[in-house]
Amino acid sequence: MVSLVGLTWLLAAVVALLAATVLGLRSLREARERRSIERKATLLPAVRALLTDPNTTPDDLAAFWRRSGAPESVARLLLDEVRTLGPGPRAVVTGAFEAVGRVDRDLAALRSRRWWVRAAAADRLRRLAVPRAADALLERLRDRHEEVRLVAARALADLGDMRVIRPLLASLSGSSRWAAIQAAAILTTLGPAAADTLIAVLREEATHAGGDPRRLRLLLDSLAEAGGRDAAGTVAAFLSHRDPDIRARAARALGRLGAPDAARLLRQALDDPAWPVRAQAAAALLEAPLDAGTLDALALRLSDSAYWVRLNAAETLGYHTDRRARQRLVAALRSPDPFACQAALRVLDASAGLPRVAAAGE
Amino acid sequence: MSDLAALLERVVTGWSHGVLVYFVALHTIYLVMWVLSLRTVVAHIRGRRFRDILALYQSRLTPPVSVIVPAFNEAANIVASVRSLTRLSYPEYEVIVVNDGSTDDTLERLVAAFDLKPVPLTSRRELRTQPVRAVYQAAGPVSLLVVDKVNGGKADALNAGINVSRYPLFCATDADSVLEDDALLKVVAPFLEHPDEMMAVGGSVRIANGSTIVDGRVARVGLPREPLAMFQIVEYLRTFLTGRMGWSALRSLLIISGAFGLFRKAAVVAAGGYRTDTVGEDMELVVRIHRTLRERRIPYRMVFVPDPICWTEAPTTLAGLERQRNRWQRGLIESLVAHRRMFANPRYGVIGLFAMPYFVLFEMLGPAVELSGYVMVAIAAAAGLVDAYFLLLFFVVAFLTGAFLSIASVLLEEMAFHRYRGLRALLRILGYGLLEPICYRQLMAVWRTLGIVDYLRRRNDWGAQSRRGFVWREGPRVP
Repeated sequence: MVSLVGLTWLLAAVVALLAATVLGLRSLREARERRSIERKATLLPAVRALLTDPNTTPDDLAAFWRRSGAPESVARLLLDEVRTLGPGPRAVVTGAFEAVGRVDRDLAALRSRRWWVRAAAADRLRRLAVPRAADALLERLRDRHEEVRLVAARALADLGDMRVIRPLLASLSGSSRWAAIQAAAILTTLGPAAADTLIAVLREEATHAGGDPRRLRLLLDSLAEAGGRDAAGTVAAFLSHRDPDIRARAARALGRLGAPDAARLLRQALDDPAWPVRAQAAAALLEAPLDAGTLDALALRLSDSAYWVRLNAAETLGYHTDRRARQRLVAALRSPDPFACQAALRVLDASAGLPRVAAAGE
Repeated sequence: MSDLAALLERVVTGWSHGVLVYFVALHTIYLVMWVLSLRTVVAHIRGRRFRDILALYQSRLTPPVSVIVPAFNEAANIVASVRSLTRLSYPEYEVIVVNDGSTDDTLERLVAAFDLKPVPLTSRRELRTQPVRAVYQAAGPVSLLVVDKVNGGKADALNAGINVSRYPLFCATDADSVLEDDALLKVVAPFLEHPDEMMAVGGSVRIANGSTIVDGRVARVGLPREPLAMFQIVEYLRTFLTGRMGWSALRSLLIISGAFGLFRKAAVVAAGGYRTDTVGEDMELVVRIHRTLRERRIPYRMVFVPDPICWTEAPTTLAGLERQRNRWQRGLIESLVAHRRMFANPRYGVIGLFAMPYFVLFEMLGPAVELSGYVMVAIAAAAGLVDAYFLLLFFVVAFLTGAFLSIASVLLEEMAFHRYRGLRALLRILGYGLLEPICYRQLMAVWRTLGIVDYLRRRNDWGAQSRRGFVWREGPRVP
């Protein structure tokens, strides 16, 4: 009985404590939010005035920071503002962070035992674009935590440090697709600077029969975004890859790159035995200049056995700016093939093309 | 006479002790689940600021998703619901509405609103379903397919949706639920972290009663006036933030809500799709995927993620709630009975040795045991076999442990999500968390026990659906 009484009191105390914690957390959060809004309202005009003044030096900003009485609020404000600043004011902000010792603090935090502290430090250094942090960030590319590696990689990419490319390429074949997507996204931000490396890696992959298909897909997608002079030729080689998914990606990438001979290559892909490749090729042709042969090939695909190929071919013909493309679609309306007729009808209807067709007496 | 009294005393005392042990075991498991959930929530809070959801949205590499919405007599809300689904933030997805032989004008409204045209889409028919009458496609830029089929139930409609879906992942949701704008992006994230092993991900379901829905989006999260809906808010917080998250941490998630789950199509098709002869098709499917993959020794994961949220309408009448809980209990029993081979079977790892026994002992039989406990205590008290003070203390302990679990779940919500704004709202939730073990819990025990009885009587219907439907307000139009 006594133990039950004790248990009752203990439980009552725990429940009361929990309820108090919930309410305390809420009160603290709301108070913090209110304070943050108030401080922002007070500090932001002064911060913006300093940042828009061309005569402001890092020391001026640092002096304001020290005088403000709310150093953390100023730090947060500056880190928010720095995203939208040009190179000049950005350098002033970075200089101020250096002057108050925050950059050194973040460099030290990159070695913290807690991963979220390392990641937050890398993120601040990324926003500030501190060139002297490059080596420390490079070291973080080998961090055990994916989040830290990715933030560090983004920071290095923003600094334009090309040493990040190889580790990013390694991430493409890691077990996490999340990391691979982020790595691919970072690669594309490097633009043509990354294209040469991507092309070289893809050429290497092309010579190996058994490359990692996911890595290949990501490489093709990344190269499609990054662009580059020799990209189309490299991508074209993958139109004959044994994996239909890779061929489909290559077709999509070719369309994206908009190479001069993309139409010819994609026209060939329209005859691929795998329907996803034909479907991607038909869609990719929307971004390519079309000649009469390609238009005919697309019109032929309106009768394809696969629904998505018919639809993509019709959409490309329907939405292409070339007048002859629409004519092919209109011609398909008279086709004895019900599939072709229906695909054409659907797209003309959706693109509000039917009234024009009717008005033109076609 | 004295022999009979002695026998009664022995039975009542023995049963009471059994119930006590049961009670302690159940709450110990709950506590373990809460600790596991707390760990997950803390990890989630730390990690989310570095998770760039926007990068997923902008990436061309994010896997495309088919959103499948079974609809049966949903004419009132179907257009607004589908319109909101077509506006989700996700780079590439399609919405597939399966009109499951509605007898109202669900299909006609969809055809008119989205300018649907019949398409000769020949489905792969990987799963057997009732005959499909027609497939329609939206004429505009919206990627919307509507499958019109003969009525076959929700599971059959989902199977038909899977047959026509073109993407490798599909999201099953309800026509009367509202997905948050970024829900798909968040629910797909585990598939990116473990692309080869992830088979299914469940998201959170929250009660939308009391919230303002504008243009198919939850514009303001509020609390309902009805006590029954308030109790369900607390209950859902506990179920999802403590229960599902805890089971997920143990890699033993047996339920992914039918209102919001993302599945790898290949895994579902390999397992045979949704079963049409059960009212608990969502749980049954998840258990069957576990079973299939464990038997084939394929490494896999199925997890719950707390932040992608689907808002749903809770029943606000006693009759409506009774029907729902009765159905859920029957569905649970059907799933557990169908896969009884997994019970305490080491071949199925932690699922067989821990999750299945837990669900059988505490979720399936729990309500009946609880109810029997109340009856025995009443008999004991009436027969003077138990001290009134002891009884009172026992009930206070039972109340406090129930309150602890509810408030601990509110704490998880407050730490990570804090969706309910304002101190007053929080106080109301806490208040209902304290009240819940006193009245709501007993009501649930009765209804769920009746569900067991109905299962034994082989009842296999969904029961009449009586939902009021959301009040969908049209938002201001952008010129």
